[in-house]
Amino acid sequence: MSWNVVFFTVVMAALAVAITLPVALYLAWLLARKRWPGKTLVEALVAVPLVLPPVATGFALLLLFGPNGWFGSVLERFGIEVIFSWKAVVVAMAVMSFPLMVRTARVGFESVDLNLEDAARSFGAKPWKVFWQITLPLARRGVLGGVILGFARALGEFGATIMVAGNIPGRTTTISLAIYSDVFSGDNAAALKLMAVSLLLALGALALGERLARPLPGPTV
Amino acid sequence: MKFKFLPVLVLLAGWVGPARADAVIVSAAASLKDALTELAPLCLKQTGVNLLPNLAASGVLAAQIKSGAPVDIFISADDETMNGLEKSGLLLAGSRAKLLGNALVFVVPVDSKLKIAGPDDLRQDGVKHVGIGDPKTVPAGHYTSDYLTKLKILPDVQGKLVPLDNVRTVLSQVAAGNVEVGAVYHTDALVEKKVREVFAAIGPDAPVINYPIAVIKGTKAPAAAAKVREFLLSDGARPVFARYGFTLPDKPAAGKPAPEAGNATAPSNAPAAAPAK
Repeated sequence: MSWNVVFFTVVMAALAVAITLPVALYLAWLLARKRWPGKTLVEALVAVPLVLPPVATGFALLLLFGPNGWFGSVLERFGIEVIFSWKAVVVAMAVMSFPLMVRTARVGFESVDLNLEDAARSFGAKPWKVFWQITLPLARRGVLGGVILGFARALGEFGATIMVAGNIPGRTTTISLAIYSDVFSGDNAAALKLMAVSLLLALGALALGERLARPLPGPTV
Repeated sequence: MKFKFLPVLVLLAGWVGPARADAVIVSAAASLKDALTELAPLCLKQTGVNLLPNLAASGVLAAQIKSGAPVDIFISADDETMNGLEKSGLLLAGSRAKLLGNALVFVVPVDSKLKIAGPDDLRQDGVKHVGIGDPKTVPAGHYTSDYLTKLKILPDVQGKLVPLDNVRTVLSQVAAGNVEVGAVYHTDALVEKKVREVFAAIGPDAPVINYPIAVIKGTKAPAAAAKVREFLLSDGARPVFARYGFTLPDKPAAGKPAPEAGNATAPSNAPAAAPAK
């Protein structure tokens, strides 16, 4: 078994989560706190990758990022080719984990007592400070849960990745894709080893999430 | 552990720009993984071109090519998929050739006591389940039901057929003893130690299973792609494919593009010898 593929997968998943996290948090906060036209539509759109088969999402991404697609044709002008590169791996992972991050973080924001935010504001705190010092710390269980869930989902991503990034060993092959190749070429032992590694990774991420999300010490709020 | 920092390099290469010109992406059926992995270093040595296999189901690979993915060479596990791309004008004219063949074989668990030497033996009472790929979605299953239909055996065994989602599942079910017999490709049977082949589909009614190769029209490296195509068809590559159980077309299409006409000519698609395990 090659550790390259494990390292590559973890880096890609971390990158996917890191890139989408600010957007996911902002959207989750907007959905939890504000009323705006088109909210329901945006909510539904965000959930699309959850309800579509991943292969279908991958196919849609393939069309969007292909050389003739909306995004692909624009990026091509800047010399950026997404399809069949590590960028496609990140895109596939990001799109699949985004809804999980948004939904979980939103629940976290909604669980925050609004009175505490109001209190902070009445003492003159600016909205940014309220978010950073009151809302986010109080919602951290939901936010961290979203991050861990998104990361785990990204680690295991298969259907969308194989469509849009291909399965090119040493370039785009992730753990899931390597397991697929191993099973199809009859190398069950290699597949089982990678399964064990991905299981450990996922469990490790979940355990870390649990630890970080423990209630803060001190007086309960 | 050998190339510890390869992913970092890959990342950097990605930032710097798109694929280098001396790399050729070969989209191939997943069952070709081992053969292509073994051939890649050989190809680099002989042609100076880096062969990058992209392994998935033929249908997925075709969808990628249709959407303009940067594929240079396509090796399909059947003629139909390649025909589709050819009709859409996505293949480089004259570059399509027969690369490999495979054979449909019937396998039993290694410790099976059943006496099965030919298709007629599937009728016996001891055979209660015959695992096949789902004829609607799995080419191997389609080939199997076609073969049994032509032999007029299908009506007698119809009730025994268990359609499964792919050839690997058939193989696993036979290995586990859940079905008494299964129909798979010769190359698949070779890699599963818990099954043995009892007979291969041969004769005029046997399916012709082709793996055609073609250069994709949109390739950005036509010269390199041509070199790799030539290498894969050459005597340097053929023994490797043969070792993984693939059959080779009768006429080596060494160098010269030899456009083939669908199923018009049947290659000898029986395995060279029933492997003894």
